[in-house]
Amino acid sequence: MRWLSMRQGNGRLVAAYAVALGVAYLALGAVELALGLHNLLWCSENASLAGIVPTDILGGFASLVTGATFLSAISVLRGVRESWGYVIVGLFLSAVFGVLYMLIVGADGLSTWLSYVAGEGDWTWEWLTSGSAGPGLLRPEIWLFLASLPLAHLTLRALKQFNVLRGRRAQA
Amino acid sequence: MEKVVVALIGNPNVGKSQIFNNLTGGRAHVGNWPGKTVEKKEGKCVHKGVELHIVDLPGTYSLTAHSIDELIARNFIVEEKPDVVVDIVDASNLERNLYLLLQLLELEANVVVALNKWDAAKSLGYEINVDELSRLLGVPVIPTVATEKMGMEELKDAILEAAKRKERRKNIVKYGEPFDGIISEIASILQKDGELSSKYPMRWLAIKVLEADEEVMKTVSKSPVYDELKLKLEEAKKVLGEDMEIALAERRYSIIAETIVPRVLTGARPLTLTDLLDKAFLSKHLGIPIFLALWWALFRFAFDVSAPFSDMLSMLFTELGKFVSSGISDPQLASFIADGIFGGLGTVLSFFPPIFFLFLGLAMLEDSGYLPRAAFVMDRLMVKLGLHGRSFIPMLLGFGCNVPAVMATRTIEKEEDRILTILVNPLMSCSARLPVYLLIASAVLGPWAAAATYSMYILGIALAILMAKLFRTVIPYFKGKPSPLIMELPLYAVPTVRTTLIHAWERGRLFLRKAGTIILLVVILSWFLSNYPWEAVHQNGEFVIENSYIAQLGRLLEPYFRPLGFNWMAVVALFFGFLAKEAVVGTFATMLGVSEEEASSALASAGVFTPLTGFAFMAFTLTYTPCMATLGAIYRETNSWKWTIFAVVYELALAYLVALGIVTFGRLLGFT
Repeated sequence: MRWLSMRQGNGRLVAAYAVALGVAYLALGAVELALGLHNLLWCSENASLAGIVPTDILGGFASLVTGATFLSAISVLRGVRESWGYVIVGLFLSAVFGVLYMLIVGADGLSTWLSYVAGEGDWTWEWLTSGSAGPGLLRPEIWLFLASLPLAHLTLRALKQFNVLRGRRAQA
Repeated sequence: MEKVVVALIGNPNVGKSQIFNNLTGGRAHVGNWPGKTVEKKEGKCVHKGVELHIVDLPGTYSLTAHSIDELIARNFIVEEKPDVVVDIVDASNLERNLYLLLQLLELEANVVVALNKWDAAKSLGYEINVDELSRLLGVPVIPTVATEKMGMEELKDAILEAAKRKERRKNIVKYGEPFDGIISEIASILQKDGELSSKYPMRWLAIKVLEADEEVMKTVSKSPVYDELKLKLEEAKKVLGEDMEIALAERRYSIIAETIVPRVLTGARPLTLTDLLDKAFLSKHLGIPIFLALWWALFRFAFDVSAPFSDMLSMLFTELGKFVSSGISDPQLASFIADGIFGGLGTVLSFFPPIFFLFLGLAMLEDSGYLPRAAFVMDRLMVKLGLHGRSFIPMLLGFGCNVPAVMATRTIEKEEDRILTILVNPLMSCSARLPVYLLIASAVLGPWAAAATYSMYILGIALAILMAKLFRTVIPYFKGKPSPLIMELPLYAVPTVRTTLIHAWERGRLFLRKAGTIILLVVILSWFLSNYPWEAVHQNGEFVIENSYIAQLGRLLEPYFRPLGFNWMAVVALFFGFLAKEAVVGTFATMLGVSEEEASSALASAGVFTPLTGFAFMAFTLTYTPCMATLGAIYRETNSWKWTIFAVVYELALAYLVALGIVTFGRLLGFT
């Protein structure tokens, strides 16, 4: 069975990669959430970690969900075919938030330019590293999204190989 | 000529109409079912010297009494007793379609199965053992491809053969103990009533009694054996639990999944991308968190990514106002044009980008096939909390506009469920309220602006569920449990740019239309009230709004809102918000006498709100009295002043309590 071979070869690599991403997202989400709660309950100032991990309760929650989705892909190792869905949805969530934060950084840039044109402020490049997305392009979700691209490539190749994308069943 | 009455039944979209046309040659008599607005189609054909009179029953997933379609189909089989019932089963979706078939067998109908879309099943890689399926179910099974008229002659032969069949297999569906024992005991009680036993299959009637089927219960409540039956039902509840309908439905699905499908479908089950995605999106544990995470992403997209586009619109309207007013010498007219029209309307229109972005994101989720999954995932929670499963779709629509959302409740069959959904629907935060959140949040909530806005949507959902639960518990009219949700989940698809943009524009256009009509009128009215008496308000070039008519109105109402920390300006804004919620923003801008660009900063510097009272104001805006248009829709859909007034009163009271709760607990926690 080809699904079995996926379980042993490619499947193992994909599951390991997904679990590694899952752990990274969980850690990130936990820190974002903790900083956010700390900021809300005890401090009035932004308590960003090293200027990279933002204080973001709901963003942290989203990262936790992404991490948990990736971690659920571990059952791919047990040969549960449908569990590839966790890898795909994990990649989807990773892409949604990675692209979202990049768009927010872009929007910050546009706002800075508009202020400059209207004569309300100077032109600076600060929006690249500080703004609505927290640390701008340094936001970890963007880098984790980029780190997930090789996994997306591996997953897409596997799905094409087994005709899943065309709704065909796996051939023995 | 010998005549055989044949009923065609099947799930929606299984090719039933195509088979009807193939059998009758497309010649049909179309009318309505007696007393209903549901279409009834009948036709004839002659096969081997026998006339087949074919009746097309409405498409249905089951034979419960939850919808008119189901009831029509069921009553026809029970009361008209057709000679043969042809169940059209989608071979490419066997598992789901077998549910209706099991119910037909329980009804002891003389069933012939047309296994349609045989070619589609083959192309998906399904291998269906037709003989085994026929043996397991005890009925003839004929593979067909309606679009190619394949299997039609065989189907007609099978119909004639079945019509001649004298004996039918009974008790095909075995639920196992303790179900079967209890069903037999109830059936033996019902058997004592000669009238019932001559009309209905006893085992089916017993199952319906256990399911507390409304129509059946009406019938058996008149029976002399009803008292004995009630005692038995109480005993059964102790063994099977309160919700026996769900328990029996689950048993049927497990019979299909464990007993029938594994023996009939050989080879591996085809795996599709939809299967894989549903594994995560419909996951028991991850389904709801994924939905909430995507919802959060949608709000950041709508709030943050659209911001520069709002700035562009603000700049445009400011310049337009300055340009037009510079050419007018009369100060009153210049103020009216610049501040009243361009200022107020510009403020409102600058909120078009976030609304359009919100709809763009929603359209992407809808066109991809995810939104029905969101409804499915949330249904489990909603039914547990007393709200009907189908309510979720109108609730989702409520995020756009409550008017079409209230109208969409027509899909809910039971009137109690429908009115309950209508009453709580205005608590879903419509797009009109978004500009208010954006204005207040950006004015006083700083980095928490997006989170506060998002929390309004969560608060709306929570309040809707809470109120539904409360009404279900305390108002006798709503007592009882909601009927279960059955819905078809479409395949996932990649949304196209064109259709997504069209969907977003169609919804966003409603906001623009409103901005150009009712909001403009409100803005003009609020400009007039805040600028007159002219001499008293405009003193030596200074704008003294405290002397205006609007300030007098606000001060009159202010004492009632003082416990919430709202000053007269906030009260006036809420007053105009009753006409249209968006008008709150324009009213603030006019009262502050600033351009739309400065509305947020002016609101902050005017000290109208603290972060805490600002958040409470947002919650009040979310919750209080629906706008005029929504009230009109509520009256039309409920046809009752009683429920319309009830909606106004309870939401106003709820808004007050929620805002008071936020302010009180916030202060206790040390917030200002």
